[in-house]
Amino acid sequence: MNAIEVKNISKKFSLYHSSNKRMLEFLSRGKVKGHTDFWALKDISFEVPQGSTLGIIGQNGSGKSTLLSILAGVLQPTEGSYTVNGRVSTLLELGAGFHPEFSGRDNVYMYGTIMGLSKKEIDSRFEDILDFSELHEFIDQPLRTYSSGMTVRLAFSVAVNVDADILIVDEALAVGDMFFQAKCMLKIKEMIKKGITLIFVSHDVVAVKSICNKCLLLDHGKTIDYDNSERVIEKYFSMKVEREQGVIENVVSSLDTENSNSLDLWNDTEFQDRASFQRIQNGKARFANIQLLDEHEKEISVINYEQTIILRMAVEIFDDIEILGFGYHIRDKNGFDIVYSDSHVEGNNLYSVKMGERYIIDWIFRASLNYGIYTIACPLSIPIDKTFGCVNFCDFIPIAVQFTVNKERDIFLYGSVHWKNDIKIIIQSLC
Amino acid sequence: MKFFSSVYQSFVSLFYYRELLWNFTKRDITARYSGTILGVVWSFLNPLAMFLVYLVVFGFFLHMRLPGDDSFMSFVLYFSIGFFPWAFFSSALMRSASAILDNRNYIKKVPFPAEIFPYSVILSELVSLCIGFGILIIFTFFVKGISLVIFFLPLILIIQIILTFSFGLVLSAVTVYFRDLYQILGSTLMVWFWLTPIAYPVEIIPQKIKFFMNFNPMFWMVNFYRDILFYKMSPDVWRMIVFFLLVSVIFMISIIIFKKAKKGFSEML
Repeated sequence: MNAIEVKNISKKFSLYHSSNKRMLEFLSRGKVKGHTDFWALKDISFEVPQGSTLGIIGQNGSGKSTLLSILAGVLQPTEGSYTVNGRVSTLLELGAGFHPEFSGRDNVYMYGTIMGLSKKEIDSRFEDILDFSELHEFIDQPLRTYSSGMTVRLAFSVAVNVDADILIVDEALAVGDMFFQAKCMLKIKEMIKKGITLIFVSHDVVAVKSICNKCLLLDHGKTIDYDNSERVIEKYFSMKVEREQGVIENVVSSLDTENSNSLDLWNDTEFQDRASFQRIQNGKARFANIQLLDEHEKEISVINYEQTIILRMAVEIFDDIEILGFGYHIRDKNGFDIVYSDSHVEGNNLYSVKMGERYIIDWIFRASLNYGIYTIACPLSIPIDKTFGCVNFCDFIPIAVQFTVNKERDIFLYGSVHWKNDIKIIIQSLC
Repeated sequence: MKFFSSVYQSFVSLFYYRELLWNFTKRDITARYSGTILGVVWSFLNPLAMFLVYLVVFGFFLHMRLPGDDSFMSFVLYFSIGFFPWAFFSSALMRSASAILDNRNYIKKVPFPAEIFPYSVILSELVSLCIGFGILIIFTFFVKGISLVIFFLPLILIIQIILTFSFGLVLSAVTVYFRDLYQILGSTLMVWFWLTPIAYPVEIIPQKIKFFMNFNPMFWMVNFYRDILFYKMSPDVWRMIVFFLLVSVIFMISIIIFKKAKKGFSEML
């Protein structure tokens, strides 16, 4: 039996430009058109068998929340039909129904009744709810004295103790401390084992993968894919990369046409603007430009896996400096350093540079990086104490260059960087 | 027939959610005055202050008296019997007009009948009306004495509640679509107050206009209350039956209007 059946659901929102327009349209009985139609969902169909789990993924604005609101019974679809068999408990925006002036206990009862429990049912579950939330000593305090984490704990504890047949979880677990998050995950997994039907919506694809056996991928209100989680999540990623790549290519191509003549290595105002974000300078030397080039010395921002690239630094000296160090950090989208090197590591520092000199430094390497977006940060520094890595920054640019590494179709890199390996295999036969 | 089954369904779902309705009402009463020293007493003190202002202006400054009765106490009683139901009616309407908007959090997240919100604020306002009537009855007892017709009072109160529910439902639904209504309502209620013989006796209304007064439901209500408490006589039974039927029809129509409007709530909020 299916817990949820959705047949060709579409949802249209009428977007009014102002409330006057709405009034006008209402009074003229639709003769004056004051709105534009927006289809948040278009022809969505799927079935969720009882006791199974479905993940819904997609970018912001893909229609996930609209779909959930329909399943929760809050919104009505414009077209199509759906059936939901069983009691639904929603974990949409936890604690939305809490009142700060009332005690935790009162709020539990209120939240419970909103979820459709009678007072008796809540009485019998109250101990379980309290135990799960671990808020014994605070339960009779007004809710306004709770921390946000405590509020979430309380809300989640009620929601999972409703004994619903269908649980809808929407991003709700993103709050609360790590320990409680883990506990919630365990609880959800335990509920799945007991046969609950789960709809899980999250940006945390890893969590979706670990919980859901099937996945629905939405984009602009349309079903892109509906299949096993592994496959759908792969598709989601490749879609995401393609989109981001498109954005960057657009930017680069428009720049090329505008500045192709004035693109001088030493007078690149576009670079100086980009680099100014959180830049540290002391005036002794600076990066005049930093570029990412392919083998043919053409500027690029999208590269292929294992492609040889050149990181070109144009350095201007404004003071006599005994030792000048330079380097780069390659950081992923979360700001973690993935690859790092500098002239000290490479044994290639610049010695006794003079005022007015200009240097062009090329780093040449193979980008053996996993697909994704990367940022290069570049320091230019005078070492003070080599043993402690203490330096005086002449110039530090946190965002010097950004680039995307394309997804290689056949290779799955389950780390960030690939380095050269030698593999030696010796067969030892058993005889 | 579809009309009646629709109304019937609305009652069934209300019955199913009666615990929630009760909880919201209780919460509304306690939340409004939690943290204040006098608590629920405020819900009665506020209209009382208004009442005293009117009393001083009309009773003392303007020397308003009832025709054929020069006693100040009679005027006070006459006025207060009209005033307290009105105070309930107007504050219940003001609050139910914003009831859906104030609770958009629930309506957008959890599926349950939105009519609970106007109902619960009206019921919570009813508490102050009941306190008011309690005091009024004691007061009447000392000034004029009480007769057995007072047993009609609960009946009239029920009609009053149904009437307030009808207006409250429609107002709460329409404000979602047309938010100016809340502002309009404030001035409308003020005009309505003066169109109803509350601060002045019914007798001074010119005969020509008197017929039009029948279109004002609060005119009927005030007369019923005064019949029972002030004149100590039973209201005309036929008038009561006719009015009750009228109010019931209005109530059913407002249930349908609310039901239609409800579909768009979560999109509009």
